[in-house]
Amino acid sequence: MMRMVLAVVLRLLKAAAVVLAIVLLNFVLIRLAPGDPASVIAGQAGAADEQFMAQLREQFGLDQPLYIQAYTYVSGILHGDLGYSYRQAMPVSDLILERLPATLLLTGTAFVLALVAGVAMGTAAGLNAGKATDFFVSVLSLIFYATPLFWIGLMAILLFSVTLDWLPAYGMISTGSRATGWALAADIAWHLVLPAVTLGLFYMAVYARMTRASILEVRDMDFVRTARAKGLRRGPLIRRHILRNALLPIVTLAGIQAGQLVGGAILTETVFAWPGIGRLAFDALVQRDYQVLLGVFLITSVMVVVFNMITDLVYRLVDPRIGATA
Amino acid sequence: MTTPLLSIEDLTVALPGGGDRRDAISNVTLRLNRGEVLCIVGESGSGKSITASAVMGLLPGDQLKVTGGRILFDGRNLLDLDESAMRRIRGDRIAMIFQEPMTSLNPVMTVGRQIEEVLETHDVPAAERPAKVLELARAVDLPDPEEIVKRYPFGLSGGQRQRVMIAMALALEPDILIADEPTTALDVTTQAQILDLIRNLQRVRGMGVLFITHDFGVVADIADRVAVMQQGKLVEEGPIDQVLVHPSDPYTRKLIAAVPRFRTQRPETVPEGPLLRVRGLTKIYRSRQGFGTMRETRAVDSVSFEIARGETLGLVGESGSGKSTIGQCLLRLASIDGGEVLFDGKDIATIQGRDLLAYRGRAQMVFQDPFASLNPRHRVGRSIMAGPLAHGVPRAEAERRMTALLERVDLDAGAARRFPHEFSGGQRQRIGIARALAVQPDLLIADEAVSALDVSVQAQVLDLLREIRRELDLAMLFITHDLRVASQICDRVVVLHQGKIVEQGVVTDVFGHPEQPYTQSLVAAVPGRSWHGDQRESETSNI
Amino acid sequence: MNPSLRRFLTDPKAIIGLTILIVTVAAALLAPVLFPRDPWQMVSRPFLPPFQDARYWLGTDMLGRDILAGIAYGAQMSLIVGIVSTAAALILGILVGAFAGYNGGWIDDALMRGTEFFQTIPTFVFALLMVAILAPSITSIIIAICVVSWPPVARLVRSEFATLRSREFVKAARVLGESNSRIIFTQILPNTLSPVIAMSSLMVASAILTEAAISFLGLGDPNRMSWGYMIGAARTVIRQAWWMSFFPGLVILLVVLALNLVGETLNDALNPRLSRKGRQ
Repeated sequence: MMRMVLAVVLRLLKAAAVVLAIVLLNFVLIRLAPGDPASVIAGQAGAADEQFMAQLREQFGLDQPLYIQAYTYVSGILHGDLGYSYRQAMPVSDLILERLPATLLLTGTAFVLALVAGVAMGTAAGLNAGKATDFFVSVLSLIFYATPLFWIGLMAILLFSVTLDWLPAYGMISTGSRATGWALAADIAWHLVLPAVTLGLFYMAVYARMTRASILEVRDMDFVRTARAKGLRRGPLIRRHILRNALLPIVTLAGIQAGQLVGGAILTETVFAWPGIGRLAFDALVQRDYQVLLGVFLITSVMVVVFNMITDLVYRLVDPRIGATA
Repeated sequence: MTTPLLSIEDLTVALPGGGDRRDAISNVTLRLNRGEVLCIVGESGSGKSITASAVMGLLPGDQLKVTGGRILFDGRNLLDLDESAMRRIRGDRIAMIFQEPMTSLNPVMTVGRQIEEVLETHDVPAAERPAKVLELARAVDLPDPEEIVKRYPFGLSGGQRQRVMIAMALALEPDILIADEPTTALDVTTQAQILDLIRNLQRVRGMGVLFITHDFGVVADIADRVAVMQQGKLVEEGPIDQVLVHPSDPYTRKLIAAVPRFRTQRPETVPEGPLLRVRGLTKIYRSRQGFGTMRETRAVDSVSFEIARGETLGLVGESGSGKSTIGQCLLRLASIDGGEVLFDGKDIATIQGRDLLAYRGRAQMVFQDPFASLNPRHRVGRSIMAGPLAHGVPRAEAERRMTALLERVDLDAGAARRFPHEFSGGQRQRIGIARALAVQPDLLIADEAVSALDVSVQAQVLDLLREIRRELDLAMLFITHDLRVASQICDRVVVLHQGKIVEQGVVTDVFGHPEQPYTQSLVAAVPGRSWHGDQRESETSNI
Repeated sequence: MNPSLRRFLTDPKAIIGLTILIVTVAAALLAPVLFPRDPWQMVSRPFLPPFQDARYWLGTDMLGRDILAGIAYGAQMSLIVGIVSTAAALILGILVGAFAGYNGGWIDDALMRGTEFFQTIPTFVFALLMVAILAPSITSIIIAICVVSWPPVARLVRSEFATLRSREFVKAARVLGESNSRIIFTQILPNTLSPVIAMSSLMVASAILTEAAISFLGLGDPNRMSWGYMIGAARTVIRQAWWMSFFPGLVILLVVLALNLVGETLNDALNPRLSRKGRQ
């Protein structure tokens, strides 16, 4: 138990260090921008107003030495101040918090979908390597792996919304809807289908490939031969010996990949006008509202760090080898 | 004559196309009687393991296919059974244990559960299983059975894991136990214990045991009858006394002659002053443990010895004894944490740059693994010339040396233009020796240089090393885990245990009359000792 | 012929992949010859559907620009970004990985923490942010993609180096007195290149996808036609003109698929672990 607590503490420290590094990276990025950092902070909005720029320079200490600027910036962010969007006339943290639930819903659904479907497909392919199932899964995952996400989204809209009119193409809630409770949930779920599937397909392909490779590797291991020599039935052999060992590494790999899901969310939310932070980032891109962009980058990074931390700890719980001394 | 327990008739297994021979095994006929241990012995590629797997129906089906013959057990041909009928036999009537105890157990399942699985899959009622698991753990002498069955395999030593494997195999009192090189990966003392265990269990339960091994010493200790295989064919079969003492087949005779034995004749070397003097050599490994705490392991602990020109000193010990670490330290592949290493009177423990390069021009190494010790992408000639060129020898001279050395190690001159994968293990080891000699060293360190080789090849490489040491008046440090090999080639030996020297002296004294209890247990554990003591000793000791 | 090369060239997957790639490269090189007019210029009426006018086979967009010409010129952008950013990422990744893996110890620890960090951050968001802040141009896109794609190379090369470093032939080279740089470049590096080569094909593929995504979001190089830009521009008119986004997307799919096929077969051909296993 002590060991587990220690592991959690260490992992938290590591996560904190990563977040701090990301904040510093943000600072470096602002300085990297061509021209006046104040114009980066203000976005294109402030470019004209000289007095406003001077005020910004003062506020961010831009006339002071670099390390003091870095300190001001970092401590600001650590106090929850992600800056101010002059475009939207709102603090960046408020903007992001308002949009975060929608993104969490979308990425969470897509992740679960991708993981379940991907692992199932990969397992089917790995256990039937060289047969028709394997070929079918491999071709399918190859195609999804190679297709641009935003294009799948557009084509899905074209097919399922425009041509067939089965599913809504845009937004999260039907326009003018006053539904509450379960009706609201059903409406959101209805709108969620296309974006979540679109976002999930690529990662489904990724997980399917990883699972297949992992199963093929484990299938030939010595302990599987031992289990066969014991006379085990096919079911327990696959479940207890092959799958348990093959899926363990998938937990960690899935965690790392999941972080990239957030990047995909920007594209998906843009295509489907989903009101999350991805959509926020796209608007900020169009308007060159750098403060919002930096905030989105920071928040998504924190999401990834937290997620990786969770998968790490889950892995610790499922794999008896870790955390114990041999 | 009673019906045999198991009878293999004309068994043929085809190799996938493109190999150098068509069949992995062809027309193998063997029978195993109730209550006897039949050893199948052979070198790598002889097909002995494939024979065992074929009986269990565990051949990798996509690569190896049985194309002929029958395997009769209990009145049925096992090759005709479908998978579900075969499954019911596996683990229940015929059980099997394997070579690699470290990888043969599921890493994420407790060992108790793995033993229980055998009972479960063959329909032993759940209520009876826990007691039975403990009983089995006790039967194979696992320490603290109640506690150990709850552990995962990573917490067990190699010997303990092999005991778990045996417990699983014996769970349902099978008629036949197939053991495929079950002790090859174990240290010699552990090997002796496991062999004892198998032999005792076999006697008590009256099983038939099909025991696969490459080691005639093990055969001598455990077999009732012996079958010798070569290149997929059975060349000789008979009772142990007959095959070991009066082998009829020339191949068997050659194999038995090549088995290294303890020699009794005292080596006659007159060493001058030592070339290498090691005093208090210490190597410490530090590993981080959790939060800031470091654990120190003294891999080598104040070791002192000397080697003279024209002398071969053996470093012997089990895994973890520090013998290979010493070799690495002496060539400065690992840093030295304490003590002096005087080479020709000069301490080389901390030298750097030019001095280190000069030292490496005089001390060289022959490595263990003939497959890993040559760069697969370099032609053999290039590998051999790399040393001289690095020491500034002109290209023409380097080439001259390379050609001469290839000839010396009995390879044709064309070998220089070929890549390592075109050579056999023994040939590669010769190339490794030529490479080391190309810089014209005074000290040669051979680290388990013959351990990965088949016994007949082993004898040839040992001969080569012995001749070269004499011709070039080298000082040689021979590191090995195999006491019989050490006895063959060394003049003096140092016995190591957990980083410390236990005993050292003239090889015949140390192995013939060991003074320390550890050395005594090591010598006693060498397989086939009773056989080594037979009358053939005098004929073979002077090869 | 070299057996790896023969294995590679006789694999149907590789043949399909290589064919698509050759056509793409040819289209990129010949674009100025086949379509002498600027791809940004209006050539016909807007919203001309495909397969109606033989001169503009894939139709035109809302400004009457030729879709097929756009695709040909877009190939230039995709290939340049894909190849240059991958080459840069390979160099960076190999240097970091080789240095970390060969030295081990704290140098290895420090470099690998840094590499892990760059793998942890959401790469696409980071790439977008860099392009936005550095001002959209082909150079900033290449830099951004390079920065997010070197870590896997570094990790691969590092693990290969760490394994090979303790291989006996490398120890032998050290004992024989070869210098560190000689050992790195003649003994270890050539033995790590097979997986890196196979990986590089997949890296070009993902660079093309990333470039398309960046351009789709409107951050592409304003002076260069790009497949992602074409789809992005077509997004708002998808109900009227499906072909405007359909064809560029299909081309991306084919090219990325081809690169994946080539990468996979290269991997099989250069790492014949499976065929070796058969021989035992």
